[in-house]
Amino acid sequence: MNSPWRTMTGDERLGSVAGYWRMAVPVLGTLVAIMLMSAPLFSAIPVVPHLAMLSVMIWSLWQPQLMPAWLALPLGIATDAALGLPMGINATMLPILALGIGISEQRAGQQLFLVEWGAATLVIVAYQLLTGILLSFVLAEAVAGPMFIQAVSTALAYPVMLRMIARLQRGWVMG
Amino acid sequence: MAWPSRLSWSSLSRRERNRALYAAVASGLSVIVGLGLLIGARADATRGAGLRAAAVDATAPMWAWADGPLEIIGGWSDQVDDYFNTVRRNRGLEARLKAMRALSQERDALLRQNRQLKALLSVIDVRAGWSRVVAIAGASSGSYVRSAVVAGGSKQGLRQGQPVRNADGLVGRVTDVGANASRVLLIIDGSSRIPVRVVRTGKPAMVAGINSGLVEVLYAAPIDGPLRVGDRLVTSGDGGVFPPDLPVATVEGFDGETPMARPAARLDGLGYVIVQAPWLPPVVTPAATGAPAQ
Repeated sequence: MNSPWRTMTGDERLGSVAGYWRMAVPVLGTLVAIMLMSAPLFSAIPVVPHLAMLSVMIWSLWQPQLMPAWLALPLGIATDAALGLPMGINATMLPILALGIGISEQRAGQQLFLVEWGAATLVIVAYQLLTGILLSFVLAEAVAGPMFIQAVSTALAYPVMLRMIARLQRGWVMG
Repeated sequence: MAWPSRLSWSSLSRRERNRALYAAVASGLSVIVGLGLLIGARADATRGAGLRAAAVDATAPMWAWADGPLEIIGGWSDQVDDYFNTVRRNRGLEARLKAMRALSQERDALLRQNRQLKALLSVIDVRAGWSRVVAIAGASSGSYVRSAVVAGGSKQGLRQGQPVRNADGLVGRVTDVGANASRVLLIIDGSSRIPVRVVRTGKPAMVAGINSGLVEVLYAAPIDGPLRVGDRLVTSGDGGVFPPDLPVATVEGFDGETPMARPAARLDGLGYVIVQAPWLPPVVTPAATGAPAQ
């Protein structure tokens, strides 16, 4: 709130508060991504990309103010709950992801799309590996094979997700 | 690239610096809370069950609503298949029907004989009691968990641990129960273990999920003799959860030494499944009731 609250009229105050609904767009977008991941599509190999992770990654890259690390925590809890995972897997990984993106983005700056995609792929593989390590901490048996298939499908979904979030951002967040 | 681009630290006002500091502290705390949850989950696997149950309750109705279009899309491929393969399939079925008729007569005779023998020995059968038919209303096909969400919960009488099957064979077992929806751990999940029996030899084995379309068969080959491709595996009833003689999988090949089997129930288009009561009620141990052990 930049303008002094006391000097505003009622309508202006309402408008000022209502302006904050933009904060909800990344959260709602990520919740939709979580819903999509729980679609009743059965496949022989786990090809469903980690859409929630992509959403948090891209939002924290473009709008760090709207996707701070502490907001990634409840989103991670929602992901774990919706996918039936042990509590704390994504709840730990998503804040780490948002933090890491926030720190590295300040240094990296604007890059070619292919370079960004390559970097995103590395981040996705690292995310899956770390998730596997966290999971082996909780479960006795964690299987490595499907982990890489999901990493590949997530990397392939990155450009699509990028485009969708760009549209969401242009239409709703920047107004 | 962040938009608008970040400001350098020195150009920030005191208030903005404070805010950045709070944000950093909150970020660090959120990672710590996440790790805390994880340690809690390690200590007690059932922690978070309430939250997961609430989540299946929240997601199931939406997918139940979207199920129509999804089923139509799934139906297209079946229709194309039907169009081209009906005649061939029909001939195959007629041939099988002839063979089955002979087997059926044999089975009737055996059933009669079995009844007589049981009557002679006064065998008491455990009857399969309660069951419910529920629709599939969600799934999780991530890399770690293979589960399905069914449109039935505690209000419909579903309880944790109940076996889930369809007409072809075993599907899995109920893990999280919400009010109107529940999560079913599929037999292909990495943490699923089903005690089975090899139909050909009668020897016990264990079917273990590996999060892919096939399941591993854990089997003591040196003692019980090797498995062959085509061996059928049915539930043994050991452990008391799954009723015996339910088809689980068929051995399809070997991955090195390990026999790999294909689940009897097709898990990629479940539609409706049957939830049953556990085969035998759980045994109450003296320690659990507080009574002194004999």
